[in-house]
Amino acid sequence: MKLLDVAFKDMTRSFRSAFALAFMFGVPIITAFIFFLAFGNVGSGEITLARTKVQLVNLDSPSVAFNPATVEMPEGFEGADTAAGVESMGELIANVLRSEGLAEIIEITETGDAVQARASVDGQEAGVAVIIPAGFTDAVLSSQTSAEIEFYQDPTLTIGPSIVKSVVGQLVDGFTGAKISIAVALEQLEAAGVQITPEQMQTVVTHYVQWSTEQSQRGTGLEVRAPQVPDAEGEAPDWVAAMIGTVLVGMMVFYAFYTGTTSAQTIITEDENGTLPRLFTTPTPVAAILGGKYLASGLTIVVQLVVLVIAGQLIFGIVWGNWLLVVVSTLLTAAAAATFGIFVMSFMEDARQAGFIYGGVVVVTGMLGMVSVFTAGMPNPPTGINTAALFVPQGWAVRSWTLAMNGGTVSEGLLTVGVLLAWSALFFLVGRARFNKRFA
Amino acid sequence: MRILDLALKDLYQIIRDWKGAIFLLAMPIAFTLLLGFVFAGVDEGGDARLPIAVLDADGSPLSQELIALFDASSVIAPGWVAETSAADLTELERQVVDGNVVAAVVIPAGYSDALRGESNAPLQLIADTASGTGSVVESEIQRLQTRLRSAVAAARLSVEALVAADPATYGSETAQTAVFDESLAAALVAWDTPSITLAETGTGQEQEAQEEESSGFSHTSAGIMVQFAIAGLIGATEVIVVERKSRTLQRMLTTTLSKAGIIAGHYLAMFVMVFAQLFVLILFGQLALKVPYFREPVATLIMVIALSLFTASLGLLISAISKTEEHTIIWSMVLMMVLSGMGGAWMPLETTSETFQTLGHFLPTAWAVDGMKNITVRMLGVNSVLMPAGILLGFAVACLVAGVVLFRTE
Repeated sequence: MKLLDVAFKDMTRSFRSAFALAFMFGVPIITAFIFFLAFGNVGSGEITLARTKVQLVNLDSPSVAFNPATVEMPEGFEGADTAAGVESMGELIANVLRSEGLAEIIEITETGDAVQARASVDGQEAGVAVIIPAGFTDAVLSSQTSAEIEFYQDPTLTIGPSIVKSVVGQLVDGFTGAKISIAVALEQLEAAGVQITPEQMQTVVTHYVQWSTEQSQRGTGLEVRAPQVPDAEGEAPDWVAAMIGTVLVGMMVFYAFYTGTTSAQTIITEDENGTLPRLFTTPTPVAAILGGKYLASGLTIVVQLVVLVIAGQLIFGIVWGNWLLVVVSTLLTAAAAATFGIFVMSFMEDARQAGFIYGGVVVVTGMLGMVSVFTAGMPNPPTGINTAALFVPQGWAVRSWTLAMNGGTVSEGLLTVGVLLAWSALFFLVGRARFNKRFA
Repeated sequence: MRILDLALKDLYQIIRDWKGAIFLLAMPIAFTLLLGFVFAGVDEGGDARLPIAVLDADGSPLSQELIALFDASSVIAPGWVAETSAADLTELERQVVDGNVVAAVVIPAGYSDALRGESNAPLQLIADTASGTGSVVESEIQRLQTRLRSAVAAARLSVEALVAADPATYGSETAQTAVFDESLAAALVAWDTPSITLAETGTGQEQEAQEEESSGFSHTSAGIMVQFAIAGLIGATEVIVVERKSRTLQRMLTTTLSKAGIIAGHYLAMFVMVFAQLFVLILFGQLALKVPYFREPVATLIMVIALSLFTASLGLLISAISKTEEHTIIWSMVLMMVLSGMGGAWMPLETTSETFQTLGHFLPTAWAVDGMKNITVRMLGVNSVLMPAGILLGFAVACLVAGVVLFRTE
């Protein structure tokens, strides 16, 4: 009974502290909210990116007639509007970049000065400059000359420029394809000893144009769709909610261990303030006092995790997956975090060392344990980086929650459960032994 | 002189504990390495290409040619090539959902005929193209398919031209197949050295070629440095709060030291601490990680001074509003997380939404990271850091004024 009284007193104190509440609930939700703000609108399930500012310099002015039908257009630009009436390949590229389909991701500014365009990128006023050289069309139409479109980008940017590069690159490939196709056909005729007449050359070009037109009418021959392995409710997964869920799991585990440490710190501060020695003079057994503190720590973390799970579902639409495993993960994370706090605080000589404990031990082990959260979006993370997380209990806790979110079963998580229990037992035994020795 | 004595006393108090040094230096170094390996993909032993899965339902020489193009790509790596079955398709999707591969490509039956213009059987790409890696894979698949399609077009044109020119020799299917294969091979070879190209260049590339290369750690180094400069305030601000609680500040006022002198002494200690911390981290970044901070030493010095002044001012403000040691820890950590997270210290702001980028640039940390990257990634000079440093100084003045106004000795 005394044990419960001590636990209740400690919990009441924790939940009355605005700062404790801020760390238990405020910071994890704020951090998840930062990622929510950063990557878009969870409600729509889409990730939104900022528009890339592009400086376009078209110096192309052909001396020969250009037939836009010889070019295979990129996906979404196969219609006649983009190519209608254009007199050069430079103009065709400009039309594609200016088109409505790209307006949401590209903001075009046209200028006639390549130096100024590069300066805009250097000054971070634009992310990319696309510079189409003079005589570009002539070079494409000639079998002897080559041409280069300059793609000048801010090296700190990757996504926006890669989109622009992809569009321009597809057009360039279309030009190159035409040039290579016609050149190979003419080489074959030449190798076969056929005297190439202007009529034969015209026939080859005409056939290529016909083929290219047919291909354009069919589309680019690539159908793209998102993976459709259904979730528990048979619906396609919400990618942004899943990403926020991963971040929130990391934050939940990180701050659960933080709470475990702050709760255990009350043993040190109460000892310094004299409250604990006075308690020891009462008939209450030392085991009941310390046990009450341990229990308060564990229960506080359980409450913290339950609130964050509910908040995650209500605010961010996170699907937690297997609820049985969620319950198991809650209890095991609470056990590991509470005993971790007892363990590290048992090594602390006074409250002044708290900064090192929080900043050093809790942050280092917490961030190492969260490494799988950082690598979640990476298709091929460096070898062993996720294994490193398993050297700390936080890594196993994150693993347990991730398994639950992915719809795993308790039997699949037996190893994780076993390791978390082992960590908890080890922390508790060492921490309790040290505190018992200290207060003997 | 007394101000200096006070600053030296604070510094001694902060660094006499070896654990403090670990927190100030070892942790940011450890995290720069850890996150650098995670984000920069610094894994020299492995295949850095994006893994994809392929299901070849066509099983034709042309589909094999496409897989060979995938294999030779510097962007994608077909690590899992399946046979045709419904179970394979389900497994393919599972591989994408589980994140084992970035995308899956299904080469449908009849793909070869479609390439020859005899049917319509488009390639299927299963990927989250809203993600950066998904869109990169999409454009690479598109590029390689365009290459194959144009090679097939070249082969068809050759066959048609030769049949038209010499039907007696090239009328048979065997002769046409030989011409087709030869032309296809010639076209694919021609694609290796195309005459129309996209020349990629960028800010600072000339300097990069002449001097030092940008390092994969450049973003992480700058971001972690900014983050841990703020985190390092925990110990420094604690010193002031303890002095206030123990009434040491009030006792100091009984000496010839004024309130302004006390503030200046503590401020100087925090400035020197952060400056020294940043200096060591920059030295480590330059020497161990090859982040080219020293290519523009004056620009780097300007940024370090500006960041140190801002961080010291923030420290003064935190110590002014904190009543207990616990409060200093909480304020330092909350500000560290919000300023680092939203200022682009964790992830480059370009990967975030437009609103977030705008919000981020209302924070000093975004300008600190920008200024450092102007030197180490954009390879720019002193002029490029004047604005970021100026904005940091503006924030420093604002925090300093607020800190001085709110500073209490009891």
